[in-house]
Amino acid sequence: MNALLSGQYLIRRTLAFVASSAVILSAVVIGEQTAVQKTSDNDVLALWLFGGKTPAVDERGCYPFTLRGSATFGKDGTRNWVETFFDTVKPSGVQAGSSTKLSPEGPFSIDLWVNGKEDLAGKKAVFLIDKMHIDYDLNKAGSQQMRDYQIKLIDAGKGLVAIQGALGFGDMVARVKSSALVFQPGGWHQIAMTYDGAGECILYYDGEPVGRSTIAGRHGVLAGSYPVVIGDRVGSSYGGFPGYISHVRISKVVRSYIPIDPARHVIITCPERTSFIRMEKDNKVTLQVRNNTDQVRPSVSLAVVLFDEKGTAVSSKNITMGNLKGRDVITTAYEFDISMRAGTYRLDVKLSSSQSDSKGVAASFVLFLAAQKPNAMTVINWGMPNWTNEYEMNVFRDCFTHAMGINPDTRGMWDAMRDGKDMTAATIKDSHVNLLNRALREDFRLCAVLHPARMRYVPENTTSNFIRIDREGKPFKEKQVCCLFPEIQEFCRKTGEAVGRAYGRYPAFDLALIHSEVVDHSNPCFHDHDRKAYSIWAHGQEIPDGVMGSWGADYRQRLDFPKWGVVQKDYPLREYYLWYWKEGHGWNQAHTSVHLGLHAAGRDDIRTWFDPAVRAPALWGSGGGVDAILEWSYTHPDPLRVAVQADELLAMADGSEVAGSFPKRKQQVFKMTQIIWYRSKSAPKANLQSSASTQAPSWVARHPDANFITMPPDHLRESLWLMLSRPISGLGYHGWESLVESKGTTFKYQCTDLRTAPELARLMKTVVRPLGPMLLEIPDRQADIAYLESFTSQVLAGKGSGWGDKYRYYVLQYAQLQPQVVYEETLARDGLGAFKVLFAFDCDVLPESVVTIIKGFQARGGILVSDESLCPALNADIVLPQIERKPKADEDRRSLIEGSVLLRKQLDAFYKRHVDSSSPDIITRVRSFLGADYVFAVNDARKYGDYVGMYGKVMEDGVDADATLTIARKNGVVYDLMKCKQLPVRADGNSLSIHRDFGPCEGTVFLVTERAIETVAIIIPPLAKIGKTVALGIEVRDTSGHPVDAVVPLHMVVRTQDGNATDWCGYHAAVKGTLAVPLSIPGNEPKGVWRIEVTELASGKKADAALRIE
Amino acid sequence: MKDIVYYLLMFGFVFAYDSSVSDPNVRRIAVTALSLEKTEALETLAKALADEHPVVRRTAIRSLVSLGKPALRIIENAFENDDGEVRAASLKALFVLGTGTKAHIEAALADKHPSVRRAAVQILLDRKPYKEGTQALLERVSQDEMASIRNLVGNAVWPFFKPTELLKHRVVDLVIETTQSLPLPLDGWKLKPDSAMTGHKQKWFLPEHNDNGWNSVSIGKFWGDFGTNYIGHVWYRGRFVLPVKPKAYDAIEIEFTAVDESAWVWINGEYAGQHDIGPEGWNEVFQLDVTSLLKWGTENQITVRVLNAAYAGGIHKPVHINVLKVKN
Repeated sequence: MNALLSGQYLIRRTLAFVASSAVILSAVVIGEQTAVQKTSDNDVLALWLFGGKTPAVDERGCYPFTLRGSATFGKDGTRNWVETFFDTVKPSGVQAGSSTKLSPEGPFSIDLWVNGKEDLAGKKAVFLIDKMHIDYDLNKAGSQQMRDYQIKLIDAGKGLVAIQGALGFGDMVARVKSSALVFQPGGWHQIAMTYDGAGECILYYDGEPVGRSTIAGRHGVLAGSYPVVIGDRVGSSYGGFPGYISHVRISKVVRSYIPIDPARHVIITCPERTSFIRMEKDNKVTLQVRNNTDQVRPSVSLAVVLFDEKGTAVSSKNITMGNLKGRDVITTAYEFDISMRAGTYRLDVKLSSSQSDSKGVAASFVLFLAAQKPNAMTVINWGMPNWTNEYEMNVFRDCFTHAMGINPDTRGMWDAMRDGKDMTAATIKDSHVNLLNRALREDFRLCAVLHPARMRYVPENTTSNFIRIDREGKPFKEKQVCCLFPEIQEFCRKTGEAVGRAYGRYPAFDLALIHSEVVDHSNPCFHDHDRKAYSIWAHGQEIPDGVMGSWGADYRQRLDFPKWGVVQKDYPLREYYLWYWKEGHGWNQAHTSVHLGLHAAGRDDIRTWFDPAVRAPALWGSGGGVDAILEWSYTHPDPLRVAVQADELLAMADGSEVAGSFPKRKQQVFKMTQIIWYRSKSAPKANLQSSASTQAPSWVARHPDANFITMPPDHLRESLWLMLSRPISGLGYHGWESLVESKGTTFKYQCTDLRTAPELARLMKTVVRPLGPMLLEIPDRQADIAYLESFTSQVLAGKGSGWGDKYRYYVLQYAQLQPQVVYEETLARDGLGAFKVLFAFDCDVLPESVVTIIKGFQARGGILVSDESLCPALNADIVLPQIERKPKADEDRRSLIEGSVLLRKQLDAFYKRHVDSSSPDIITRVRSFLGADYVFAVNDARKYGDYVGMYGKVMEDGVDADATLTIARKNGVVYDLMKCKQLPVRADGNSLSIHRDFGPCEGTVFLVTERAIETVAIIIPPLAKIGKTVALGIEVRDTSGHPVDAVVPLHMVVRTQDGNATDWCGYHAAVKGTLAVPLSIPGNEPKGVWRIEVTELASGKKADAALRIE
Repeated sequence: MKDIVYYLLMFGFVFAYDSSVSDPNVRRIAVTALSLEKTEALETLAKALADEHPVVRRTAIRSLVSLGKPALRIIENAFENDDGEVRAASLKALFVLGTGTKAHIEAALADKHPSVRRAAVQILLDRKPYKEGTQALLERVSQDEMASIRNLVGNAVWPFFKPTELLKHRVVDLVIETTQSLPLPLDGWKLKPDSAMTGHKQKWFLPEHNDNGWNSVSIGKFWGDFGTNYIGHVWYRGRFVLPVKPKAYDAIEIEFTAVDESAWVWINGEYAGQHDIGPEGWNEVFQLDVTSLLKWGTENQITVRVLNAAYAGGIHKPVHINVLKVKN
């Protein structure tokens, strides 16, 4: 029992993750107050000490109670307790009688002492006190549940627990959760909850506030009829506290608690940034001094000393802060010298006050200064690793640059806005701050996920007036917010602003997803403001009768439809759907509002994106004014699906404009591939059961019920090259749980192929990182083939919408054609003058203007390739029949390739490709920069394997293939960037030919330049002074002696005298053959000689140089 | 050679069309560059309709179509061209020029080339509202061998339609109470695909229709759960027993909690109505008035024709018969 007695002095506590970023080294006692106040207080409603002559009666003698299950009374020294037990089926604890006196009308406090017998790991929740029974919204009027109060300890993950208090108001339950805590068995701890009867609730752990929440618009809790149960839940399922409980008190006032540990009476914290990047603008380290007592600390000042990694003091400062009032917090800022060398520093802070007992309050924090890095290709994990799992973190860092780590509290912000409170405060979380600091240390970045107008994130009771309604005024079955309400737009903008203010200081936060999968789940809405908005758009017209769902109406049903499939400009249904998809659904404006709000905080470099952006008709504007648009693709049955949606994204972005950008810029394109595969579309469970001859793959035994399995590595490889061959600004992968094997996961995604994660890591290391900076600089080659996606046909004939698989687009890939997806709007803006061939599939009905443009195009000699459903007003030059997908992947692929042969047979007499391949298996695509071509080639040859091949739905294994590639250039030099060498070329005066063997689903990119690369030159002065910046230049020169007219990938290492890598180490792109970086010499750098080594990654030529530091 | 031709064209040189030139692109450029005002253009284009390369032939017919009436004779002849695309273009042009006849349509509907048949269908579909003769021709098309052509006329020739008039549409500002909700059995249903779209002609909706050879299925699930994902039209047939007639009601409605995607419903052989709002309707609840169609205290027969255009399909959620009463 000694352990019990001494427990309160053996407390080990930490807020989640704090230890990883800020280490508290020492503290001394201020004050001698105890945490528990006197029990004779008239404000006490009930006090159970579990001792004396009648332990079954509370100290005030009012509320006798009974033991439940095997709970027993006991005594330990002077402390009496009840021992309770964990069981989910049988009750434990003690049950008091039901009394309305135990339901305080106004403010109240509950405190109790607990001593755990065992680890709480694995227990979802254990109850300490309960008078509520059910702590979630039942939507059941008049229920006795959802009333009074409840306190429990819940699993906070990673071995931590959190205190959760619940307040029942009858129609809703407000839950208040503490930060994550280490809860050590074998010691007494005090847990308390106060509620002021006016919305404010605070949780305490050993006298220190650990959780706080404001429940807007609420007063006292609603009295219920359940008894008070201590140490377990009232009923149904149970969750008894495994340990001892003592000294349970309910008071009708808000009590003031003081930390039990005197060292916590006054504390110094560093609550914001502890990680920085060299030479960035922001260098403020926020320091806070918190007084956890009522006693004033006069004339407080901080002595701050910064130490480098060797323990040498590099700077010191004294910060005067004035008087520190009781319960007050004073904030100040320490200016961190971010021109120093990259590395880890220690900041020691000592507090002094004119009051002698303030001496000795001190803390120490670890600060991190990251080196400057070259621009890299963004690779988003559209998910999140387990931040405390070393294996997952290693996979994450090897494979990605970004993860979804910032999830602001939308509900809290909504409440704050409604009540006119600070929305920024409502969204800040310690866990976010710690993760953002950690991200810079470990060289990854974080995305915020902002869904302010998504139904599931906004409390329904507050949005009941904002729900979309049908023509009859009824809400749709799938409820969605109507974004045309001004309040919704305002909330979107303020959410952006709040998040920008909360996290805009953190460079690791540089991406934000704005809503996701919202537009395609919305329906035309019929509020008065919707009708009015349409009427304004349509010059007084009302919403047409034929409007049904969001995807349009079938023209064949309509008697008024114009002949020959030609739609006049003002045809009402088209006009409505044009409005609906441009403005009417309101999401585009909502995205823009969030984007503008986020950027209003001053961080223009935080890129916002929306997805899935082309799950929409072919109309510019999807995503509103966000910085980037994204679409994901599954690679089953064919990786070529990735190509279709990537090109559609490029078309969508082509007509975009980033809101608030100056000068105006178009949206970037992010392309994502799903790590997951639908089990039903690759290895259906039913097939396995029904076919005795089917040999189940080995993973089925481990994951028989998996609904989503892992994309195998060959598909991963091919799809990556298909994405990289397009001018995208970022990559993404979704399905983290299928990429890593996490023990005990019950997630619907399962990791069924352990080869995929290592392959992704390898591809990042060998392809994306080395070539990423170059790829970001290369534009697309101006296409001379257009592929029309018709908005009019989509909304009036149900054709070719964003949902469908466009198999005929694969035919174009196999035919080595490189189309640009164009919309009706593209034609209206640009015409077809730049194109020689126009593909128009699924174009049943077209606007008159488009028909005119296409007829003019044909009259000038342009070739129109279409299908049997072409708008009857047009006549195609080549007709490609619809290709029906069969259930056999090999037959499907064969028919697609046959389609490409048929197409070539008709088209090739009239069209000459810039790049061609001798084999349809090797698919090519080209991008160009000045005189250089970047020819991408990827091997699509595949066969059935033993992963899912036995089901016949997907050919998952790549096979070797080879091809001769022909480039329509009279001369040039070809470099294989994956082999880092020049290739032998055959030139016939009109074209260059190269031959290459490809491994399974292997890809590469060939750089074709006019002249050969000859040298790499490093241009830098011989001498640099400490604390100054010098210009470092690199030139990749060709045989003319000038920088090559290309973007050339480079690798550069800059090492200090002691061999440490410093700023700008890594992969770069030499644009027009040149690279220039400012090399700043840290003020605390010793004298010596730095070495600079550069390798160009086209032919492997190297250069090095020395820089003397003085 | 091609490049030279292009350059020469840029500088105003025009080549005469010559079918013996081996490069089809050169022949096509010659056709494209023809000065259509000149009378000899017609004869050249007529020759080009016999070019060995289809793209050249199609370029020629387009030029002829753009000439209009002066080219009518050649366009009429082109309706006999070997190239189906040329025939289709010719057919459309004849009707644009006002010289197309029923004989042309009938010939086109019998054409082996789908583009010609499709052109004929389009011409028919544009004759709204359909008169008897047009309706008969469209009926013929509904038997076309190609699903894409059959689907074109599917709605045009589909004879079943009933406006949806529910109790809630008839009473305003009154509360409607569901006094009884009788679930239809989930099991014991029969299913048959109707790729030819002739089920209604064969009267599959009649109670006495023999469905012994149909597949046995359940509702409340997608039909993929029974082995195959059908794309197109599929019919369900089922039976259910109703209790004695309720003492008081204002309407009886059948409620489908979801059919993926469109549905046409018969009760005891009588058409009850449809739910046909396109793919968006796949998960929507809908009701149909069946007050006068049900038989109480005995067995009833129900037939549902389902159209699924993509992904999963079927009566994938339960069906109820609701007894409705306006609350006093």
